[in-house]
Amino acid sequence: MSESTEKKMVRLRSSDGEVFEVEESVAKVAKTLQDMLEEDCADAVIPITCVRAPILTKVIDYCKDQVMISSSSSTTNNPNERTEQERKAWGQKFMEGVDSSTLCELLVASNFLNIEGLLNLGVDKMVSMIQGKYPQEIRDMFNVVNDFTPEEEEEIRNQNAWAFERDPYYKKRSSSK
Amino acid sequence: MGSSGDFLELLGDDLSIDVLRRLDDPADLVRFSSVSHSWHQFVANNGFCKKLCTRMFPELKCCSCVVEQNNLARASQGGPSNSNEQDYNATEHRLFARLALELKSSIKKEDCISAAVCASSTDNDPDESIENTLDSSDIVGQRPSYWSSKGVNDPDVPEMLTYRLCSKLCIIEEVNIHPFKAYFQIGHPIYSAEAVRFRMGFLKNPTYGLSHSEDEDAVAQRFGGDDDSFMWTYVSPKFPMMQESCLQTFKLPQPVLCIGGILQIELLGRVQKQEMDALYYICVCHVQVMGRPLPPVFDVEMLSPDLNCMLKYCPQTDCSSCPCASDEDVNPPPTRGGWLALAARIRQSRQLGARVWSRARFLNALLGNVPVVLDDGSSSDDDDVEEGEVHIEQVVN
Repeated sequence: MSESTEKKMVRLRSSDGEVFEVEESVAKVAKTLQDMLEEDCADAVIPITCVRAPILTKVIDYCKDQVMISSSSSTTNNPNERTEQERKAWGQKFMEGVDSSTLCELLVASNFLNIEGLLNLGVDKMVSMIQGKYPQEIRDMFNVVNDFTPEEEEEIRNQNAWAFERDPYYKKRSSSK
Repeated sequence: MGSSGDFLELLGDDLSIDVLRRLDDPADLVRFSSVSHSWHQFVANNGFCKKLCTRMFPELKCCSCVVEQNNLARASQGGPSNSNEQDYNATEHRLFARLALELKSSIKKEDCISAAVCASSTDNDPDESIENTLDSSDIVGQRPSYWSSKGVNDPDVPEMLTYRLCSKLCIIEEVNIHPFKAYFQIGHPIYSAEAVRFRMGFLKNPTYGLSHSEDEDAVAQRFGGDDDSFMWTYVSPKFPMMQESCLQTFKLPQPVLCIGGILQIELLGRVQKQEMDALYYICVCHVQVMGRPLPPVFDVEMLSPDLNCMLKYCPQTDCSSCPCASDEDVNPPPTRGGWLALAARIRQSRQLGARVWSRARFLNALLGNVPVVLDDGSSSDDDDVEEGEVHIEQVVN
């Protein structure tokens, strides 16, 4: 091991009881954890009460990557350093295949742990999932029940007809009535 | 909590706001709000569409309330009451969504001036009237066409040219000004200004309704366009002006929503003295205000002098029969009425001006050699007529 001091490890427990052991530097990417560690009020296992294990895994992946980028940033010609474009591409890849409910949990987790970069990635992803979608697509994506009466829905559509041009999902619904 | 996937419930207000704030297409916000009652309420109550509009055009912050004119029963002036706050928010949401759509559309820009209102001073009225700046040419009807200020000793005395735009809501991108080169004076001096600044807003006189544009203009003319007669919703930075006789373009840092339909050009600092009287003048040949008017479904009214405005939406204005036209006195689409009146006025002033001008030239000519011209003219005319008559007779025979 090249480093003079032994790496300090931190243990995190997800809401469903799984314990993750990570380097302190990785945990400190989360501002909330950084504050706790600096105040020295977290020596045993830190409970992350609102984050499930699969989500916490994803969060830790993100934090590890951040540490990898920043660890050698002081040296010149850091091979891990990314251009703006690379960072964008990495973010997209990181969020690839994340479904809407996982994304919601990820957003809540990064908000709770105060990880700004991850929060921004999540919000961007959420925005891209909503953009250009028709109401029924959004309902399907987020399991929302349509509680408008057909008359109410008709009224909204008539009042904002410009926003609903060529809505293929609405035709289906009205013909099924 | 219904299903576990409803993101508004999962994310909570703050995160949901973070997400919705980044939707910059009003259609997305409208469709998102049509998912369910609670989502509709969330979008409407947080005013995302209004925020989207004010992000694009901060000038809109002065629009403190909205009214939809085909539905006066539901409209609430001066803020919502408790009972129908929900209705009000829904109306505001719908109205600003539609406004955002208009603000984002990219129609080709055009000259938005509908009429000249007043100039802070005019040297010779009507020969050097502000009306002349509506014409692009510096020579109309064989006479020079420009506006001239009065002459002053102090080069710092500013001048103001005030125009009415074709709609109370116009997106303005640039103002083009052609300083006038006095081609009939020795040395062809160009009476430009040192700098220009633009102000947009309302004519301040709430007693005059929208339909009485003539009267409003008369009021402004009496005031001469000074500060007291206007409420400005926007003031541009200062732009330096060149002393060159060409159409100079002053592009605003970003497009501005002119709320109120009045644009004033401040001409700051004089650079050219007239040799004859050693006084400083500013003369302008032509003015264009480039942008695009919002469609007549939108209108705006000043509610109080502290820049408190009401945005009006009348969806039926597109059709020929507008139900709100009978509610208010006459509410013509500002564009047409203004244009017709303007066109008529220009024609009138042009004819008058041209006649005066040609008569002056005729008199000048006479002063040179009176008897000869008169005799020659009349005699040759008579000859022509006689010849013509003869010719006709010949044909008939």
